[in-house]
Amino acid sequence: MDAAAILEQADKLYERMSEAPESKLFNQDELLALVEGSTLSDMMKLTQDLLNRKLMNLSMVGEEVRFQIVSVRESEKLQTMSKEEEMIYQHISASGREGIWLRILKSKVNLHDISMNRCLKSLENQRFIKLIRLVKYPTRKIYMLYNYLPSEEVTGGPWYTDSELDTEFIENIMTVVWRYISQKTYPAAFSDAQSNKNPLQCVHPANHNGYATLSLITDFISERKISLVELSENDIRSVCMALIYDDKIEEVKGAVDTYKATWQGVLDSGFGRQYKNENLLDENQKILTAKIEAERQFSIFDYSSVINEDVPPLDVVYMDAWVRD
Amino acid sequence: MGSDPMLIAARDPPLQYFRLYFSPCVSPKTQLLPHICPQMVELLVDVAKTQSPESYVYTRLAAQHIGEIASVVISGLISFGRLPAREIARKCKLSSRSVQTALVSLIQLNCVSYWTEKGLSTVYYTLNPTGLKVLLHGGDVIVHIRDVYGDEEAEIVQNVIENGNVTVRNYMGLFADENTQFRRMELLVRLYADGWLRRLQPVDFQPIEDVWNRLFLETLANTPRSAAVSEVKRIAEVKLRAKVRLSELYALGNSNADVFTMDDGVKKLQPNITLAFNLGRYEKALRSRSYVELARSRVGILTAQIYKVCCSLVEQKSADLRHKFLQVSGLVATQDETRAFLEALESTLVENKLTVFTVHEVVRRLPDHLDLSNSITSRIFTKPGRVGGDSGTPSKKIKLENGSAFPLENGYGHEDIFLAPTPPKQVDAALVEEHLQLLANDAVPFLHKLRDGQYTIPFLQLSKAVKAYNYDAIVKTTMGVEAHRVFRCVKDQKLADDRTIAKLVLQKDGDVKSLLFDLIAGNFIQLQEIPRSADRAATKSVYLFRHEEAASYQYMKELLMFNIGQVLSNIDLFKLDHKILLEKCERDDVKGHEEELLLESELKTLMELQTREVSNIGRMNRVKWLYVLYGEL
Repeated sequence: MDAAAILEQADKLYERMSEAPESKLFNQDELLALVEGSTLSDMMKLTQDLLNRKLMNLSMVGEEVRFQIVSVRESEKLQTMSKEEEMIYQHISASGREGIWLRILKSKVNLHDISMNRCLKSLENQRFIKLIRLVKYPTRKIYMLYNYLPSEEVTGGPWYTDSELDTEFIENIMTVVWRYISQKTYPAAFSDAQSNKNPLQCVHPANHNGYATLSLITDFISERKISLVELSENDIRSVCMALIYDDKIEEVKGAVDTYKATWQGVLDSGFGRQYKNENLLDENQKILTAKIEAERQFSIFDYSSVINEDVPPLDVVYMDAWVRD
Repeated sequence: MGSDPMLIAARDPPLQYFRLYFSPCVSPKTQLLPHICPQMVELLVDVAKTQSPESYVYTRLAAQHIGEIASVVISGLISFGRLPAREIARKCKLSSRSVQTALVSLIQLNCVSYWTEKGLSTVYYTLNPTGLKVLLHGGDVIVHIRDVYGDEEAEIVQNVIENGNVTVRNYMGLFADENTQFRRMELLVRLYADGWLRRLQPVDFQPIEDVWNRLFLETLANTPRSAAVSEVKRIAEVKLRAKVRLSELYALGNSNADVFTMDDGVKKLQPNITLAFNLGRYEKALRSRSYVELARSRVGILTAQIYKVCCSLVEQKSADLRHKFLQVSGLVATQDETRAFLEALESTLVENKLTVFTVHEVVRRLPDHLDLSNSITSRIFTKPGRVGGDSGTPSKKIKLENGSAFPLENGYGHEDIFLAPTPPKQVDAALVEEHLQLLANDAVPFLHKLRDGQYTIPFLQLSKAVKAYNYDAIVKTTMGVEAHRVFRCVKDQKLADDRTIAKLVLQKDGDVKSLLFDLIAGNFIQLQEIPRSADRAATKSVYLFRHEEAASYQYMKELLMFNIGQVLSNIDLFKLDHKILLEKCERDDVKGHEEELLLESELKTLMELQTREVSNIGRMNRVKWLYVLYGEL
């Protein structure tokens, strides 16, 4: 087989390999099946040609050699690189969307620090690779191919913006989720007084099953386009967990991923106080609320309605005085 | 935390202090050492303060209600334990006579118990916190009785508390009029039957530990050794029999035949019995209050009103907060044993239907004006509007034969029926049951449904929940909402590291670390070290966080107790600063003529002092309520 025939056959082989996804690893038999009538020695020449033109990669899977094509664009890139740069590039490329820590990269390529830094700088300047920051370990230098989007593990998921926890965004989403769950739990707490709802309390019965489920909340968030970043059910679940820790919602007994708001949470947020508006109450309700107010004693759950009195400095009592005094 | 003042600010009326509520028929106790100097008071306060929070509060209470010498005696008994009067005088550097006088008052008020060993003449005195707790809660007790029963009943309870105990004959002797006597006896019978008063017997003046020891030793001596029974088994049997004897001893003389007598078909108390206030009954009322408050916070205002009725139905017959056996150290040894004992006690009460109630019982006891209509969404039916001023509701009309519509006048239409206050007995039982179902199905176990229409209150589980939710609220109000989130996350995770917590609470690592530090400093959570090297090097160790309820609650109890002591001593100290003026006001020639005889500036100071005292008492009551949750419940 002369050089021109090898070139032609190699291009043909490359074309056939390209029909499969780029990540596919071919074994020897599969390659032989792609080029009809070729022998093992012919196949060796073809693969050698593709390897020389940086259009193919070799890798080992167990004891077996596997072949993978490299895109033309990628191969053009590789051809412009030096041997060291290429080696570094290959390792970074293999790390995919997770990226590779500089320390591990160094141990793999085993190059001197100066040439290592020079290569990395050159690759960065040519926009072949980029340096990213891992949310878990912000001090680590992680390299990744320039055109790759870092994985969620690296970026920290939708809650991180530029590797920083976006607390404002989280708080906003939490408020929306809480409001949605609360409206499903307490139908009268957020609306104006209605004649068919008791202003003192109006709740669903114990066997009610129309509370907010995780999928309903997720759909609500995506339908209303509340977040620019797509939020999965897992993300919403973590918001719900934070709301549970805030004691604003709780899981419905005997149901999975179903939530209802807590009455204390509603009161803390300034809702559910229609009973304080005398205009909405009838005579019976006025008498009852007056009686309740008269009998009312201190409760720490009422803290949101408490006005801190002006205490003379000598009368101030600190809760931890026993250990501090 | 150190710089934050208590956020428990004044809202509820700060009254409830029984010294402000004297009844004319009982004279207040005289101060045993009226002219004690301020420096001495400060010294005594400091000594008691450093001893323990209990000592701080008990000595202040004794000082305010009985006198400074009684306060020193209390402090001595806390420091040294059981002592004879001579030893108390020697150790406290007081005269024997003054100690004996103080002890008489303290015993009368159930603040000290006494004990004589068989065959010996020495009388030993031991602290009895029950009497001091009655003094602490005195004002609240009277207000509670006044709210539930009325002024006359409150006066009786006040008299009993002030005197420590009252003999029925002596008390009835105070009233010359037969009708008044009849009325008072009726009230006494009622208060006794409802458990607010108890019969005082000689055994009540003796320390339960000593009573138990004597019974145990007597039973042991009467149980012969046998080759067939091991010593361990013998001791267990003796313990069991001694327990039965202890229960019998305290139940003795409390049967209806021993306490009541029938006079012309009228139930009366035996004239020779002595009555004392039953603190255990008030503690049950406090427990109910804590449950109702939680129900109000978790479910809603109307359901809480219904729940209040549920609690009142079983309150008296429910188990005491402190069973006699639990007051004897070592009798119920471990926490598991205690829990098993209390659970067994609770199930016995349920089995005997003492703490079981039905929907119909609740309906009967519901307060007037409790309008439950439209409170449950599944039971909302189309009814004419009944909200005040709902002018948009179309009026009801009837169609006439000629086809025109004729509006119905008020008095014929349904509107009138709904606008009138609903009579209490028209409450829909099914609607009440819906509310009970809400309580039974809530995350907090407010109620336990036994069978159709029958419910009970799971006291043990609920008390645990009450403490937990109140503790959460304390964290929230003192440490902030972010710390509250972290705290609840630690509780949920049982044991977790800072990174896991930060991920779960969606807060920055640095912020979470600082919040965890604050929570540890306040003993809200605890740190656990997991060593990763043989030398337990701190740098290699992993630190995890956990919340231990028992330790945190105990610590909180001590903090709050100390706060009570602080408020009480604040009152004493600012009064001491104006001692001359206050003494002047107490003079017979000045009393009642203050406006004529005092300068304007003095009147102003008096007014300020009164406001400050009332405000401090209000503050103490709020702290005391939190203390009740962790110290008594």
